[in-house]
Amino acid sequence: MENNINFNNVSKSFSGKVVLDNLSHNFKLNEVHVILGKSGMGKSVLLKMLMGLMTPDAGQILINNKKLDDAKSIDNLKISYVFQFSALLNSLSVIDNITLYLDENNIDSKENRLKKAYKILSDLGVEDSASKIPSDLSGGMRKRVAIARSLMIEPEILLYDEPTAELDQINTRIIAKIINDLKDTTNITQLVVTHDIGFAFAIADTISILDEGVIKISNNPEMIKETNHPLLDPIA
Amino acid sequence: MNGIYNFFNGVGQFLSLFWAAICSLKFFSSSLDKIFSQLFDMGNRTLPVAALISLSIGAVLALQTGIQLSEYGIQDRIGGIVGVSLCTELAPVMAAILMAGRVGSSITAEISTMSVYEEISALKTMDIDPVKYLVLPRFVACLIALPFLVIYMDLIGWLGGSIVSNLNQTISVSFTAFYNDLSQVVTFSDIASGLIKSIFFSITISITSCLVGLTTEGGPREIGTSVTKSVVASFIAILILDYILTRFLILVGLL
Repeated sequence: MENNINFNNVSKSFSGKVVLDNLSHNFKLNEVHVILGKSGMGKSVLLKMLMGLMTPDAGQILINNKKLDDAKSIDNLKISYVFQFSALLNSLSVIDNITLYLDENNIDSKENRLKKAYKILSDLGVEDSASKIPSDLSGGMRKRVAIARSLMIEPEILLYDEPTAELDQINTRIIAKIINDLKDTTNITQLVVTHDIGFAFAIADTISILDEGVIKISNNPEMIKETNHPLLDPIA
Repeated sequence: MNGIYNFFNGVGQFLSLFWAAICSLKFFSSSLDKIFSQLFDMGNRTLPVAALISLSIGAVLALQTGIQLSEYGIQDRIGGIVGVSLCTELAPVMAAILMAGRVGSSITAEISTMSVYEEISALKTMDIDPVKYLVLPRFVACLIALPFLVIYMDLIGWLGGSIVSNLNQTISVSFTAFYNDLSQVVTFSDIASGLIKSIFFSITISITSCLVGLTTEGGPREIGTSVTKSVVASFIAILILDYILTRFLILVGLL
């Protein structure tokens, strides 16, 4: 059976407003899957439920046919999350933010933690910012540091919530390159929610369009372009 | 009806976070650096103001009471009155109010900012328990700091009282007479009762300010609202708790 993330009749509402409406969908593992949709359509909610930060009102989420919590505990499945506004701890330096997961969970020696952190920072081109405070960094650098922090967990699934929000074109391209490099060099499943259509087509193996609480279309970028979905008008 | 629901919901959340903080005490030794950092921060924020407040309270208490006593010629009893008033009631309550205003507000501001900017969610995604990482160090630091702050305010308040009693010509009680009377009247149970109160106050302040911070939702505007809410809730809880604890301490014969 194919490895996948399976949303099974998942529903979620806030104060009576239905955000996800009986949503069922399979996301293949080991690929970059982009979820496109307008703001407020429940894209982030979908990711947060997969991360365990929110629970569905109804339905269930399965990974390789195991319930999400079981997959995390039995298979030691690691899921990591890159927040829309980076969510770096401003009371810590960049390097302390990066090593926080290992420090707090007592994983590896201090020396190895730092070595690993500097390697990831260097791969993402932000090693010079190691001693800075996150609030002193530009938006693009903060985003790269947030990705570095997520990679420290060595995730099997990496979730990005609007990774290009408030970024200029140059930084958007840098983030797209990071995602594509990870696709080429690792087996990490990357799930990206965005409303940036150009960015989506630059990184995706599969694109799904979330509208009115359900996934309306899901296919590879070429086939998606041919659907002429109203959401894709800006690139027409 | 909504107010009653909110009250009991708040009490429930308070007790739940308090229990979680107690359970996280097993991580005490691995959190020592954070606890010391919080203690240092609390000391920096409160010690100078605490000195000023207690010196002033001790001085005013001695002045007002001493002049009245001198009308009956019993001003040499001033040491005991100032001593007992300070260590059983004024120092613990004023220290708690100061701690809630200076430290509690800062804890709420910091944690609610972290909530609003999803830093708390980020901790959860890294398998870091916010109670262990944020609440435990503040809870323990407050628990250590407040009793010491009360003793500090007791001593400085007594000093303020003795200076005024000595310098004011109507009262005119020497330092030796002041402290002789104080040492005869103030008992260990008086000091202990103030310290017992301070332990309950410190739990109230740290848990309330962390709880309000952790449950903050919305945008940056909510941070200010949360700080006000936390300080007001702590003040009210301190005053109600003070009455209940005083009644209890009288009942068990400590006062």
